[in-house]
Amino acid sequence: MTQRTNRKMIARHLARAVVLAGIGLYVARLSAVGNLGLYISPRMAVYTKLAAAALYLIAAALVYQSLKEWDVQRDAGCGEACGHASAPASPWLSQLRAVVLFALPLALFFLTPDTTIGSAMAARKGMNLSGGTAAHAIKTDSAATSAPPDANELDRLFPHDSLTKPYADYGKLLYAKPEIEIKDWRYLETLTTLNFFPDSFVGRRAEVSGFVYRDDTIGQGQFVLGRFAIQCCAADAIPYGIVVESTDAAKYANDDWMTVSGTFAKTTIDGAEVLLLKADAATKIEPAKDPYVYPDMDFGV
Amino acid sequence: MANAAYKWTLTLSAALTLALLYFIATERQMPWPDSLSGIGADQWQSVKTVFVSLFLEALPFVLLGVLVSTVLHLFVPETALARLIPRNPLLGVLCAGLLGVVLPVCECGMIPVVRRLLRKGMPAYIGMTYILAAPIVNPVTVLATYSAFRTAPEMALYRTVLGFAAAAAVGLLLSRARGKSSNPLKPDAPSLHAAAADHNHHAPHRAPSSRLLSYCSHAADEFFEMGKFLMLGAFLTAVIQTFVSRGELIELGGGAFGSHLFMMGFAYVISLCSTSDAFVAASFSGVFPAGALLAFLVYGPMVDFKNTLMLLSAFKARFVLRLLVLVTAVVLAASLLAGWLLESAAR
Repeated sequence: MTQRTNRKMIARHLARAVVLAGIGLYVARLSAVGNLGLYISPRMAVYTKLAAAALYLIAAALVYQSLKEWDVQRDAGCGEACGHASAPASPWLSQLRAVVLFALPLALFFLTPDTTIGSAMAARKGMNLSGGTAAHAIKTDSAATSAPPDANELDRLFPHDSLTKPYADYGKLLYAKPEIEIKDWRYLETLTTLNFFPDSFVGRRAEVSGFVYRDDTIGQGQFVLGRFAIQCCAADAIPYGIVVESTDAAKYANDDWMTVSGTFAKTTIDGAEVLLLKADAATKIEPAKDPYVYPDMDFGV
Repeated sequence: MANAAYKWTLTLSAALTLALLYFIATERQMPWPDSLSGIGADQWQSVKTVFVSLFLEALPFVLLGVLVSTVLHLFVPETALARLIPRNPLLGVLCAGLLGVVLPVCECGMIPVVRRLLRKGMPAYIGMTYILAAPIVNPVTVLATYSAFRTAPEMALYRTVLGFAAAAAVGLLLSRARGKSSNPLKPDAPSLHAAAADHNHHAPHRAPSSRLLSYCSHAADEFFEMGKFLMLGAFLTAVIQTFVSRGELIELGGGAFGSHLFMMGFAYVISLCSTSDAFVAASFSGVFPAGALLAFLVYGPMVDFKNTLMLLSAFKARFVLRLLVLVTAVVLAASLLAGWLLESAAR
């Protein structure tokens, strides 16, 4: 065991400790300023925080170990019996590689602002305008021409089979409201329900918020108000949205956050029939503190 | 030879990463092709957001895998495993698949654990069957698939059955590999602490504190080994997600065969966790037939861009390539068959 290899080992331990503690610190800082939610969903954030704590501990152990090595080296009493492995001769290049691959991205994570993804990403991923589940052919006889009694009026508006019953039930709930507020909670389930029974909601009032999005399938005087639904992290975000028709459509820039209220009508976008909101009031708002929406796992269970 | 080439690849990728990160940091225009000059700062921000989220998402699972692997390394004797493994390949493959049901570990966490088990003498085909099957057949994934396909609950069942069958088929095909190719592991990176750890292992008289220390530094070694590939994989996946549009890709996926291939390619490049990809598949349900969705749901968890890079951290490049080809062929055949059966059942 030469002094040089030992010094190398100490340096390596310390460099690794710095990187590990750096990752831990990054997670801690994100969590402290409330930006962790831009990257991962709340149910996964717990695990990431635990991992950060574990990285701190490992980093501390590495520092402690290099201190011990340092003592050993000062005593210079290290013989073969110590049981130390000698450090592998590491070429300068591979050391640099390790630094590039960890320290640099980390530094950039710290130095660049935390942002959410926006309309550019939505365009790449493809905006979904008809909610989360594809249209499902319901086997009912919709040709009920005789005027049904009142109790069956709702059933006629919301035909369902066993699979779509949760959506029909939720649809009846929405239908009973004077104005349908499309909130973060059950955002996705609400959009799906609306597009399952578009005819039942035509003419009803609704209010929705989101970021402005456009692509070439959207007509003149129209834009989409969208939100990203997240499962685990921002990488699996899926954009969902509602088409809005407004005389002032041209005024609003992509990625502006808006709240729009109006009445539902039907339209065809890119060959698919979807609901459209005819705006009668629109206000610019601050982006939501948590820009994402999350599927409700308990829906219909 | 291959190792040298691979080292260079890593260095090159690192250099490329460095260059790209430099452009992100300085928010400059890229100095090369005109087609890239339209890239604005917001797109680099998107890359950063997706990159960081993939990294933070995988971090706990990689770390868990590393910690488990270190425990196995330090506390489980080589001989313990050999007694547990069935001799018969078919039985072994089935056991490995069933193990995936009871031990739900995310893709990222499995690679270090399986690598360690292989070093302990587990046959490669059994380890690979587990890596392929576990992300699909574990209860968390089944539940997520069920809630994504609320109006088609049979999708969760088909996915699980197809995933299990495909993993078992690939495992059996791998079990026929003999001789030189039967050890797919890369030579062990010279670990600083291997000797020290062994020393502790055989010297119980040492203080427990130093055993804990060697445990930690061993875990750190392994974390960095895996982490390199995680960083690269997450970064390149983020770039792909930011610059490749779904619409352009869909143009490629015409016809039944094309849609299967497209969905598999798509699953490969977006590299999602198996617990969240079902929702992405559901967003395609109007566009492609159920068979193609199944191809996506089975292929993605087995192999994708990020996990290929992580496999390369443990296995020889040639083995990884062979695995990719095998999995692609098996999943394509299985999903085409499943699609055809579904079509004829619907008629």
